[in-house]
Amino acid sequence: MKVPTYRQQTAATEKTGATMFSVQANPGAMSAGLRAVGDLFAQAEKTAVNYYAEEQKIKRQSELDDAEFELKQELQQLEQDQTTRTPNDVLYDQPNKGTQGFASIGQQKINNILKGITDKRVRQAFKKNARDSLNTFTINVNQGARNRLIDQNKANGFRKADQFMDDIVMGNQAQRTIANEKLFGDPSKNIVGHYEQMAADGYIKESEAAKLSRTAFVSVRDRAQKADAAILESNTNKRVNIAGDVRNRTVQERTVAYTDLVADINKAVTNNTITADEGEKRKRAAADDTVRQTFLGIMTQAPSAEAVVLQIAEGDIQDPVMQSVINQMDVGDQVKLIGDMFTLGNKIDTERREAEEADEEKADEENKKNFQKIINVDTTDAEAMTAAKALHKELLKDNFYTAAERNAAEKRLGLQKTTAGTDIKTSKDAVRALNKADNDNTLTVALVEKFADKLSTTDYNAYFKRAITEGKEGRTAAKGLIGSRLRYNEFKDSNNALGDASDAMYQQSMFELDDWLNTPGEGAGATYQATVKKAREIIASNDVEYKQMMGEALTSYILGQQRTMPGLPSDIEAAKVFLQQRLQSDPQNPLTLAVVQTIKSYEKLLRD
Amino acid sequence: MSFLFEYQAGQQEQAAYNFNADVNERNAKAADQEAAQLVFTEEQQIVQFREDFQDLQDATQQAYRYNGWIAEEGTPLKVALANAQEADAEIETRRYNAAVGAQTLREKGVESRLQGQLNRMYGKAAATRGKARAAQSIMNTATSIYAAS
Repeated sequence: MKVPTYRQQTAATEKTGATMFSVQANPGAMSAGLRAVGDLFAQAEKTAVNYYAEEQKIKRQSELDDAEFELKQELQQLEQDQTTRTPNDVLYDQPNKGTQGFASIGQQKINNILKGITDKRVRQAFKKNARDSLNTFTINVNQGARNRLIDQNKANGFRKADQFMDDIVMGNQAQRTIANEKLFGDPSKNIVGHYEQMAADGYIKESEAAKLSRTAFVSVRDRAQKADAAILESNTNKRVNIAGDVRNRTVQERTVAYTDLVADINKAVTNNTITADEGEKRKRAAADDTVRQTFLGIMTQAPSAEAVVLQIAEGDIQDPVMQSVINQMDVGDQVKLIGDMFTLGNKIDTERREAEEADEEKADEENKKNFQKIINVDTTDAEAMTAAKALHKELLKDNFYTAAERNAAEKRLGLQKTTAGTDIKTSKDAVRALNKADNDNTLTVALVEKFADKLSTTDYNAYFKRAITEGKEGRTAAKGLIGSRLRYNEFKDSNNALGDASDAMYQQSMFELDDWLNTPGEGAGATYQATVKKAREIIASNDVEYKQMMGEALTSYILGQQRTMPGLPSDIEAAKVFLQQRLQSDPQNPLTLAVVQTIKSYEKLLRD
Repeated sequence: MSFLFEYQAGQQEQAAYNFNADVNERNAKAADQEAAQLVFTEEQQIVQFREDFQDLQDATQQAYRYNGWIAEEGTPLKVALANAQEADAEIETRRYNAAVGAQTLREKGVESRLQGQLNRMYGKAAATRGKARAAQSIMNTATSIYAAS
């Protein structure tokens, strides 16, 4: 049997067990994070740099803008200032005069601003821009200055021409000749006219020079005519004054003056200073003025102006100059003249009468005051008594006293003989009667006098004073009543026809009242009640006349308003409609409102 | 708002790298297990070989005895010793080969781990890049706003 043996079956491997690694790190992926961080910082750095650059740019731009703005303002102000400087000062530096032209001043402004700029780039940019700005401004300003220079020379030329014209019209003969030669030239002397010279210098065109020269010629001629006419007018007026002066001039002087006046006008017509028609008008006016002035002189010298007019109207003319002139006037002018003179004469006489009445009233008032002084005299004061007695004498001389007043005054002054120590004791009856009268406003001096025998001196004086006072109060109340009825206070401040009419009626009414009060046996010593009653009577008696006067005055007033308010109807009702329409379109028009108010006042007057 | 997307992109990229790293780690472990399994299987086979070799030695002694030989001395002993030496060499060789195979597998695991480490590093870098790009995006937006204002 075979013996089995064993032989190693497995061979040892040649492998070592080690393997080649394929793992490899990717540098891109590994460094991606850091690269991104790097990019981030790069971005941050770029942003920061950009930000810094932007900030610098903005800062510089801002600084540049500020500087340019400041310069612009300075130059604008400077430009404005140049308009008040003379053109030569603007255009040129004038060291002798110590002035600088616009360009130099502008450069100074630039230098001043540059001092405040530290950044080099800003300075550089500003310098360039500022130079451009200054150049632009300088061109404008210099252009303006040159234009002004030309205008100035042109204006001077026109001013000179005006002066020449004035000299031609108003100068003496030598001045006229020189001015005429300079303004219009003289070809025979080879002198060029002023306007032609301006055209030659380029200030105006040739055609304009010819036109101006012609205009100047016409103007000089017209002005000379006007001047001559004015001289004629002045001379005429002077001669009219002489011819009409009946008080200070002789007939000879007056006649010569009038004759010269007519001769001058005729000469002016001959010289074409005025037309023939104008000459005739002037002569008529001069004749009219001479006669009126003569009239006035005669009327003021005569005691009655109306009488003078009537005398002359009847042909009885004593003054030879007036006789001569009035005969030269046509009939229409004569009639008008007489009418006007009659109105004037009436006015003069009225004014005279009113002045005399005012004087009398003033004297009467003075006497009344003196009478009051006598009644109120301190009987213990010797000096006062002496003065009062002197006043008493004056009143006696003026025949002022009524019997009662004289009695009272003499009683007060101790001029009536009384028995010493027998002064009367006041009776109760007298006191009762007088107090009742006082209470009823019927106390009068006469009533006091009636009870004089029953009154002590003291009571007599007291009642007398009260009676006087009551009389005054009566007049005051009557005056107020009249003024109220006439609406005097409403109309008196206006300066229109209604104011005049109201004033006239008020004066007339007061005159009637005072006349009554001062007439013995009528109103003298009247009571308060009686005075008021009289005022009512006066008002009633004048009412119709007053309303008529006011109606006429209103019509006159409306006619007067038509000048300032065209289309205003003269009829009152139509005028009211017209005014209402005006107020609708212009409610605050003061003129319209004034007219409406006046009409309303008038209508109230009619209703009262 | 774009900075948010940059940031999220970085985060997702990192997540992808981390996933790959986890897979690498798992492969490394699998390689380690495979190496261990190889050695274990080889040891099992060596036990089986020893039993089979003992059967062979018994058969050899039986043959000697059948032929009249004393199996425990002389040549039969020498033959038995030679067989035993051969069998021992066989076992050592097998063990050596298994060790080499296991070593190879472990090396693969190391490579996988290395790959995993790399992937985690890539992930980190991606996350950093995402954050940086997000910051850059914010900065761009801020600059644009500034520039516009």
